[in-house]
Amino acid sequence: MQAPVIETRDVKKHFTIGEVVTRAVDGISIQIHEGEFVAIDGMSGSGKSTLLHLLSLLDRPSEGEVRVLGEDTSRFPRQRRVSMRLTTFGYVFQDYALIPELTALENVLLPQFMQTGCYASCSKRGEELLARVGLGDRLHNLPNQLSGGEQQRVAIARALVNKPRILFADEPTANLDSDTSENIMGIIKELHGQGITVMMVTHEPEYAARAERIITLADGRVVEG
Amino acid sequence: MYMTLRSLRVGFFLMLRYLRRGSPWASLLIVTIMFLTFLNVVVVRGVLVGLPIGASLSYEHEYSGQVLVTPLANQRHIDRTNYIEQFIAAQEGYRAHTARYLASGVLRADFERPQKASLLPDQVGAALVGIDPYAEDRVTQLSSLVIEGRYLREGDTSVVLVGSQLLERYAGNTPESGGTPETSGSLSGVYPGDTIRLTIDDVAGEYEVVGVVEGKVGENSRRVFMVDRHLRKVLGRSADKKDEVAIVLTSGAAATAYAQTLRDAGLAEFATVQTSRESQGQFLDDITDTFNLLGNGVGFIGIIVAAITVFIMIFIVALNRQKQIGILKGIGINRLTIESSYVFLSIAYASVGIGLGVLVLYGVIAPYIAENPIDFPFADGILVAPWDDTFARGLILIATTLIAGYLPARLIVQKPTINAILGR
Repeated sequence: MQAPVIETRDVKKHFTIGEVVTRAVDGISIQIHEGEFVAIDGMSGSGKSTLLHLLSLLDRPSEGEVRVLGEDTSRFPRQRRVSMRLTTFGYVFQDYALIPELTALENVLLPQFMQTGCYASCSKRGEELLARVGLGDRLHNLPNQLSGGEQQRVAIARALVNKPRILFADEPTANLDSDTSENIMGIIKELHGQGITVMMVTHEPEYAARAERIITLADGRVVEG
Repeated sequence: MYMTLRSLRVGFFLMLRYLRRGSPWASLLIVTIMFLTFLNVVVVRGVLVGLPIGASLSYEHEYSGQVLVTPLANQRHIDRTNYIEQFIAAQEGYRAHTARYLASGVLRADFERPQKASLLPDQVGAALVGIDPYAEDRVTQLSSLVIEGRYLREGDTSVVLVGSQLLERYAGNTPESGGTPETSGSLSGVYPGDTIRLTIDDVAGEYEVVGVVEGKVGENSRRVFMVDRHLRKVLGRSADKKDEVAIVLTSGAAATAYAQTLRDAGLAEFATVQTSRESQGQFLDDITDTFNLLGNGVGFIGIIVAAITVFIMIFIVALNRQKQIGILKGIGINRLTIESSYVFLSIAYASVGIGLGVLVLYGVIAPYIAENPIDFPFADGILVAPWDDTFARGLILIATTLIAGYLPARLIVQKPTINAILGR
């Protein structure tokens, strides 16, 4: 069997506020394989976003291992983690997370500019990606000139610009109406169809059902999947 | 190395976007602060240093000329003055000179009215100067310093010009103004047209005050001027024994070279030959250094204030963009890129502020002060702001801004990525 692209071994994340310890992720061991579409669901406060942050190297576990492409990331220096987020991962945040001073095209091209040093002459890929998410005519609009759904599509285009192996999406439809949510889910499903590993956090069973596999969390533990 | 350059390029790209599409009011505020700080650092120091230099220039223009010839230390007068005058006039670079007789005397006002023995007489001691009115005016423009009455004329005999600091209405009459138990510090109620009694070497005479002189240098404001022939006659002095020769040179002639020529020609045997600067002694250098130190102190404080201001402004800007910084880190933009974008931003603000400052300094302030010197009591205040000094101060300000911009950016960027994204 193929080695997992992401694997956790008894990973834990605890937050301490005063004398209160919150066990957001409490000993999770999972494996994600290349090309999988995995949905992480659960009630609010179940630890699904925290788990996604750990898997995507946005946060460090309190205990346990997060292995990416066979390597234990706990030993990664900061720069290596940043580099992996740039080259291997793509992110779609819940609230779009675009840079307000950059146009749609500039937002999309920024990670590519960082990775390759190529900007103006490499803008074609950004234009193609925006066209692919239906924003070919909004290249030079600033985020505040776009609707929520349009901003989320820009965020998806940005996540894809460096051809990531794994796409992380943290409740990508949370702030969108049902039509727009359908549109976003369609794009994500299409990307999975093209071979990208997708890990998506959602609390909506309807969208979780679109995934190949659902990991359900409760109180920081896997209860199903 | 390549990665570093790429990070800086992306940082510069982000800075341009922040500048172009960020809040114009925040940018305007920071640029204004940098502009005012630059002017504070350069102009305040320039005016402070300009004070002693302005005083020195006043001394040269109103009194000493560019070269001053005075008696040797062990001599009462300049020997062979006529020969010296002829010699200096024949040298290259010479434009004009004035030779003066000096004496001391006592001026008494209201001398006709009987006075109680217990009261101080209204009298004051002063230096008397015998001048050729025309020659003096060519060298020091003394006539332009007459603030009341008229200037001396060639044929005047028993008339004097009185320095303003010898008159109570200008100088006051206090111990600080020079009063002694025997003489008051200044004369009261003396105006042009009044007669005073002047005692020179125990010889008393009555003189009409024809005018009042007020200059920036004490040598003019505390002296009494009369026509040289008359004073020489009163003193019984030879025409070949004068006390001061002030020389002005043609435009472009160097005072040091001219003075050296006179010394080399043997004039040093008869007189002391000094440039105006030399005649003012070490005091001028000391006071210039002191004002320079003060200016640097004020400038240093200005730079510290600017650094703190930029720190706070960039900190607020970065704090407001904390979430975006987290997102940038989240999508793989490294710290150097993010930090450099804020450093470039501070440098851009500083450069624009300093650029505006240079334009205003050399386009408005410096020409204006050159045309309209600041009227300080003891000098015409000028602005000393040489390009090299301004450039150096601009660089120091940019370097300070760079650090002040870097520190807050680093503080914010160091925050854990997920905390920055989630704003916790």
